Amino acid sequence: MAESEIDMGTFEINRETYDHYNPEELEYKAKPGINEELVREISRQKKEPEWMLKKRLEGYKKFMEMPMPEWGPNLEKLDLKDIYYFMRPKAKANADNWDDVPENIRKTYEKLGIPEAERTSLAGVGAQYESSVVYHKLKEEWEKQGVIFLDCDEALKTHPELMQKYFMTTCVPIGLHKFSALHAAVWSGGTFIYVPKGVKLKMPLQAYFRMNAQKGGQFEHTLIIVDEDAEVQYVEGCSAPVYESSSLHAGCVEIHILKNARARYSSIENWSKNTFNLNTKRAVVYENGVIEWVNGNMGSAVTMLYPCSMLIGNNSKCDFIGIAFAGKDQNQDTGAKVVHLGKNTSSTIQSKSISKNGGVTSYRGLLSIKKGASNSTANVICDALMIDNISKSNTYPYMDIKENSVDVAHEATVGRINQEQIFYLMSRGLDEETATKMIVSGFIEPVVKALPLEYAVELNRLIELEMEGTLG
Amino acid sequence: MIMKGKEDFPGWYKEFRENHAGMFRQALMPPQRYGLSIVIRPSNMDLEKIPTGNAVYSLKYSKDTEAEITQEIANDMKEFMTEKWAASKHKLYHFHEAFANDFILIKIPKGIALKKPLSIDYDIKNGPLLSNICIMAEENSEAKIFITKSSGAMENSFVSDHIRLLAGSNSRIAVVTVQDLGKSIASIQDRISIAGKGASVSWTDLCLGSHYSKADVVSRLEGEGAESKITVLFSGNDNQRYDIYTASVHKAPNTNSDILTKGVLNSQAKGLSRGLVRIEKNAYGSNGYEKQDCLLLSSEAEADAIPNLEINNHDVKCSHGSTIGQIDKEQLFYLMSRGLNEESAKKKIIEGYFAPVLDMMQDQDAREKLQATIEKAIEAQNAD
Repeated sequence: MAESEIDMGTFEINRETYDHYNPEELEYKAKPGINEELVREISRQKKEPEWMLKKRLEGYKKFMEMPMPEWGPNLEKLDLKDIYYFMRPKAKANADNWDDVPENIRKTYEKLGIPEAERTSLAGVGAQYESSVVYHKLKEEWEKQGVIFLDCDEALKTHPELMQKYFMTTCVPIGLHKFSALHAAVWSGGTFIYVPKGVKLKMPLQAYFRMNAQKGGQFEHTLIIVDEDAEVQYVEGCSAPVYESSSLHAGCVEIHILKNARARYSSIENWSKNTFNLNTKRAVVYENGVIEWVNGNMGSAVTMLYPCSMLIGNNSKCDFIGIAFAGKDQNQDTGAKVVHLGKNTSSTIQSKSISKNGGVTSYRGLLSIKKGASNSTANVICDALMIDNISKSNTYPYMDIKENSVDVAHEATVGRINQEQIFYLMSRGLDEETATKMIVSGFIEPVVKALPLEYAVELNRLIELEMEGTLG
Repeated sequence: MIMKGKEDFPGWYKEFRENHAGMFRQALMPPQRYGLSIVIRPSNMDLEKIPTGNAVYSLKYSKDTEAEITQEIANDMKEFMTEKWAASKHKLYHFHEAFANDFILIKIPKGIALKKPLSIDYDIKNGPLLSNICIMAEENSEAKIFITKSSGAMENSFVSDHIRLLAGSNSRIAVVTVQDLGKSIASIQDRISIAGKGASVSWTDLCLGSHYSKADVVSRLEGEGAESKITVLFSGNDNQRYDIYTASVHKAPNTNSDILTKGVLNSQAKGLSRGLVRIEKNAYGSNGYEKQDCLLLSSEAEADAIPNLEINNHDVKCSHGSTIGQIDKEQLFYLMSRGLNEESAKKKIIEGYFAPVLDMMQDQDAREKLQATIEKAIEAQNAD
């Protein structure tokens, strides 16, 4: 078995880091539920231009009209009328000195390791608490080269032309589905990144999102524009504390990769286990562009997330690698979508899932090769590991091929931990639990390897945490 | 030629038909859209306009057999006319049950192994033909059954068959069906088998004709140690549409299943292959495999695949694979450099594409029969 780069044994496991919550200290908290007045109020408070209000209202209208999805996990426990759609914590928006951030928020992030990460290597850090971004910093050298790293509210004020051109236009249309429409109506905060032509960022940019209030909703918008010949890596982490009633996360990530550009988007989502994570992520890739997705879905009650890559330019490329973990009462319905439109486009999808303790993991993906996408190749590999006899694992891949000069392959396997491997490790003196953990960390290694160190550590730690007490 | 009047039906069956006629009016058509962008539907099929009543066809079957064959609605068929044999209750299903006009019951008695395959050949002159074929294989029986359907050109006709196979414990039953209907016919093929303890079931379905084929093959493994193999081969040209669904449902421990669908599509033909391996909670120690391959010969042909897995038990081995692609240009170049012209080179490659399936068929009769039909189909592919 390949040895993991990180020794998982040296980390102390402390659930409290993720599950703890701070007392609510909010400057503004709307009533629960959504109506047109709330949508207008959000726009008013943020002093948005007229066109953005129009978008929000269009989103609200579509959200009210569109039906709930008829497929996939059960969403009955999600009470949309009971969610707080907009909250603002007591903090100066966009403090760029760590000490300006209120103490309780700062403590939360310190627990999550944000400033530490910044000090070590990351190029910039944005952190979102409830609905607003509280801390944002970009290393000066990148700023000089014209890299913009702001929260989306701020970007709307300072770079309205870029926002108007790229915000929910050609990438994620408002009416894509019910929750993208909801997102358009109540979105708040998030990340805006613009990398100018030819600029290649060596270090990843990072953001962390956190919901704190009970029955909260988080609707951050991530908009990344990588201009021609530019390169960027962006990492985000998400978490929320545990409450008795359900929360909703309906974020939206839009990535525009222009000619010859390249982006790697990594995210580790570890929402509390009663969060409904109904998320939308999509990249539009132009000629010779490359999008790389690294996706980890750990927490939440229900996750429905299918990052989509639109390969519209010739020779564009998509690499997707993802891991989902479902424990007790969790349903991870995730996968990837790729739409091949340009010639000579290629995609690889590697999806891994672990289900345990009655959890349900489903790979649900779409591979679509449109007419004209000649000489395209696509390869989908799904592996599922089932730890015990009460868990479930499903695979629902859709392949829709409208072009004949293509090469499409798909493979999937489902099974339990190889008993021979366990036996081998145990014969070398490991106890069964350690042996199981070791095999699981080998299983997720391809994902861990694709992440920056801090996140690899976190992912490993989370998996370790989840695997605790697996046997007996 | 067989003609049967409604008055000949036993009371229970009349009631059964009436129930389904009622449900037919209300039921919805089966889905013709899967996911966001996969659509497969017949170009014309208006069930309301299909005349119900008698079909004109000739039926031949081998007489020198130890199987008991009844060619009318028999009380033994009652067992097959229940809920558990309904895979999906859509309009086409109820239409068939309400207006079926052809009945065959095949009984392979306990411990009997048929020496020769039993073949049943339909030659349809005038539709619609809706056949109910029920196969009762008693314990320890063994049989190979070939069912072929062919027809001349019939305008806007409809042919549907429900083949139900109840495989008793330790029986070994292979059913090979060939659908070679005229290109103006819509063909609905609905097969379900229930395999008992230690039974082995094999379905082979070769689809060549019709303008629209909806072929469902469902294998339920209900007895411990049962096994099944489903093979569906299809070849399409012109505007043919194939909607193929194969499913292995493991309900008992230590059951094994294998699914293979393989197709060649030319001209504007379109094929969708949906598959499912479901391993239920107590079906521990089971293995399931599913593979779907499609070769696209023209730039306008389209192929879709949806191979699903639903696993509710961890003590299993389950996997699937799919490939969709065109004829390998290097292979073509190689053959042409050896003196073949493009047409014969392509033909060789297509033959080679189906060859592994034929090689795997242990039964020589079945292999020869399919070989001949496939060669004919390849001939037709090249003629375009």
